[in-house]
Amino acid sequence: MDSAGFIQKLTDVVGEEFIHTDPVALRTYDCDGLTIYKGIPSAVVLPESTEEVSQIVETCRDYRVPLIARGAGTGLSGGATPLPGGVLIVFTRMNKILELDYVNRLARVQPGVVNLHLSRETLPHGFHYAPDPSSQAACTIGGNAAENSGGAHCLKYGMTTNHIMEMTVVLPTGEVAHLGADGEDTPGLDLRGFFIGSEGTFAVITELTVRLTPNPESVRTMLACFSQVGDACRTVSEVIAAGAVPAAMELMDRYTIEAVETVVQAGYPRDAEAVLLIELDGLPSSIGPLETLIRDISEKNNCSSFRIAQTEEEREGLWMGRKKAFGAFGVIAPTYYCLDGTVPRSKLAQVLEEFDEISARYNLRITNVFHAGDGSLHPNVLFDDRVPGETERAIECGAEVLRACIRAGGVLSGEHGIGIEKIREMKDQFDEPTLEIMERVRDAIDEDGLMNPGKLIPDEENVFPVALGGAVARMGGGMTK
Amino acid sequence: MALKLDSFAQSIEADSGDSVLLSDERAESFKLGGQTPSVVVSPADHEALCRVLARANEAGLAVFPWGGGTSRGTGYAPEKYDVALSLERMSKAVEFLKDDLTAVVEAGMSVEDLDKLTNAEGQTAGLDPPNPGASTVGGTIIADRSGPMRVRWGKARDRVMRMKVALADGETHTYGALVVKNVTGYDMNRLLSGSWGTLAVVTELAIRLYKAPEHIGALAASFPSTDTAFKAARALMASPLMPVWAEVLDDARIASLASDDGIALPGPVSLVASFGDFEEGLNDQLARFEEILKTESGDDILRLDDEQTARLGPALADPPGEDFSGPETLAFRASGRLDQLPRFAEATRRAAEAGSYDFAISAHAGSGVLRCWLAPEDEESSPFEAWRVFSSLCREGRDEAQARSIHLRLDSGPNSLKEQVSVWGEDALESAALQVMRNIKKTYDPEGTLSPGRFVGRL
Repeated sequence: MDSAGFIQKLTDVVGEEFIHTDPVALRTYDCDGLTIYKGIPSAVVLPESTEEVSQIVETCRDYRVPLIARGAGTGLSGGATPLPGGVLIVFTRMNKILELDYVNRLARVQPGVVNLHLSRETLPHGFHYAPDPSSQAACTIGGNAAENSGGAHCLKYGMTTNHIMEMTVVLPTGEVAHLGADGEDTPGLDLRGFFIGSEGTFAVITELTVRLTPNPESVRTMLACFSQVGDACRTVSEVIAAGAVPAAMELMDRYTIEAVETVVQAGYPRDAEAVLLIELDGLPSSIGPLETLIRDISEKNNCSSFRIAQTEEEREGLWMGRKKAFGAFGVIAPTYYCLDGTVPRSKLAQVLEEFDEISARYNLRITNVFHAGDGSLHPNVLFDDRVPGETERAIECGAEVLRACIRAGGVLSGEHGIGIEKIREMKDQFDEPTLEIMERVRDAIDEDGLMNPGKLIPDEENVFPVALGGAVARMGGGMTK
Repeated sequence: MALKLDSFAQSIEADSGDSVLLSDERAESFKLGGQTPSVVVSPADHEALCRVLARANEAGLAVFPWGGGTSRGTGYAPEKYDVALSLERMSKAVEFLKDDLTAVVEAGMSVEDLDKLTNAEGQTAGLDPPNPGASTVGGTIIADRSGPMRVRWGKARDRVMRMKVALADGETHTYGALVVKNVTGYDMNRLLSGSWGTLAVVTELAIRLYKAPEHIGALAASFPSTDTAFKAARALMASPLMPVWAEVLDDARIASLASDDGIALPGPVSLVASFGDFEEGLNDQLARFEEILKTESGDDILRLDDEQTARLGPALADPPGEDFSGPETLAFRASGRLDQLPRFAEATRRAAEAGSYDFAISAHAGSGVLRCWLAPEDEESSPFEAWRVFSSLCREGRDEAQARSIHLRLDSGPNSLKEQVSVWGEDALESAALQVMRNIKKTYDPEGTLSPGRFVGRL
């Protein structure tokens, strides 16, 4: 292949300033938030418009070079990790809010807009963008759509897919299409819904129209502490069974509490085995009875203390612990591997017990901090990647954790996606015909197989190896410089 | 073809021991786009249904999955119609996991029966197709029939947790799981929801449930015009209140509710919205909605109690009866941003005038969807003229992007009209998007066995 010619064509599209081919610069983009798999792209391009993206896609198709879209690279399943030799399209320059329509409660944005930036803009006008992944201060709305991201407040407000009305996409042919609409009833198959969460394997998103949600009038945040994890889990199940829908309901186990208290002193009792951070929002008249209901259920399940934040400062303190939990794990081990298996909410206590057994078997600590109200787990396998063999052991331990979720009637991923991370376990989740139809539908949309290959659908030939001390891949089809 | 049909019918009869022969009366009840099927098959379970499909597929027959038949007016006439595949015998509850707010049911269960099952435990599926006694859960999902309650519970497709389907060749797939948050692989549930029976036959569904509100109530107010009522509805939607539904009705729709359902709402135009909450929250929401209505110059404010509210909700999902139930009645739908609703209402008025029709309007004022029904005034009524005026006025003066984002659908009308217009509003779709849909259809159903010719782009 004429590599120089290819790079020149890309340069013609975006301009010299917005293409990187220098090996040192490329290394910056060799993975997303899942750092155990890496790949060096042949080029990184930073387009500024749908038209430029379309030309990039066409060029890649002409030269048969794979392409991968990347927002902020905060994803945790390797969705934005480049196939070695592929072209990485980075949306840093496409970060404009194009329209704010408060009358119709909509915002039109480019994919590189940072999630939290949109809410910051709209909050003073009485609205916010509801999906709130933990990385919302950095992650982009385009990336959220590609992964169908969740977040703590999805319990009440739904996932990203519930908040996107329309997307402009560039199809693998380079053609531009609009999926969905400003209104709710659209013709034909729900391609909007089907493309959201497709992890960049169908199309590249270049513009989105999203819903804006009125700000809640009041917010109540409370902390229920337990001396048994099972009691905390039963509280969650019973609150859900009672039909109460808090805005968020997060569970943290004792390892998490210990790490958080060591690092940020959020005020969680160190002697608790688990705490539930519960947030209610809405009209004061509506959340009063809910608060009583949740307190009653917590007390029935032996909660040792129940505290309601009395000031905004206290509320922020309680959330600070939850938000800093992952960083705080550093005091326990140098590295953690965060999974996101999800189970029916009545099975929480059962799977946490299984995690304990798995942890003992692999001699690796597993901590739990998760969106309990959704059954959306975040077991974190703590390990030391400097110890030979421990990374592989952590990965195998993680796979065992995911299989436990599947056995409990759950799934591999509730919000991070499959990417590279869980691609092998897809065969544990789905039978052959179901996996095959996913593959066939993907092939029908992306005939040349150039859209983010090696992700989501298992293929023996296309699996990223674990990168230990550098990016090595045995992928075919990519262009290497 | 007749031979193939005969041998298909014989093999099904041999397999099930049931007759698939049709009486004229029975054939009539499966009529679609003026056509009747040659055979109706009602398998007892998923496995039997897969066998029926595989045989029909092999014989090159066209199969239309059939729930309650309540959406039969929508879509193009079938390209061909050999077999009606009725889900009437597959109507059982499989599993009711009340602690997980999940109901697993066979696709042929009626929405009314699902409501009975879940309401007994104080839960609701929040599905509101027209005629819930006849509409099936499978049909409601596969046609994504979402009514006024979508403001609170989302669209019908949002309710699907897991789906068991049979492909045209009889293969079984299961998508999703009994969890409320799931990004494991492609979202096949969303691909199938709203696919109108063109990709696969859904046989079993796990439906996400919600706690039914402790108390419900509604307020209605009269407005001098649809414009003013829509403005009040926008004020409601911009507030922190959480309506279960919010509907704007014109005088004809108000009259039909009075005569069909015995519910008297104030006119000439009504905005009526319901709320569900604990008692304190409900009273607060109603009081604050009343303030909004007064600020927006709403008059004749009427409070509906819980019984009236519970009766009005499903009635709003139904089409108006009596005056708008004749075979020549047209039903149009327009969907766009909330502030487009007045334009859609005006387009309805002018379309009715141009085509010599009486009309009734009911709009999901919190969702940007307007539905209207047109009954012929006399023999001079022209359905084509009515649709032409409606579709051009809904998009008039819009730039390309805005026009593309307004979607129109002919919910029902005569075949003569359907032959000439874009029934599903696919004229607003780019060819590239339509091509993706065609490619997916071909992947699922390469022989074109399932529901040929009826859906968007005559897939």
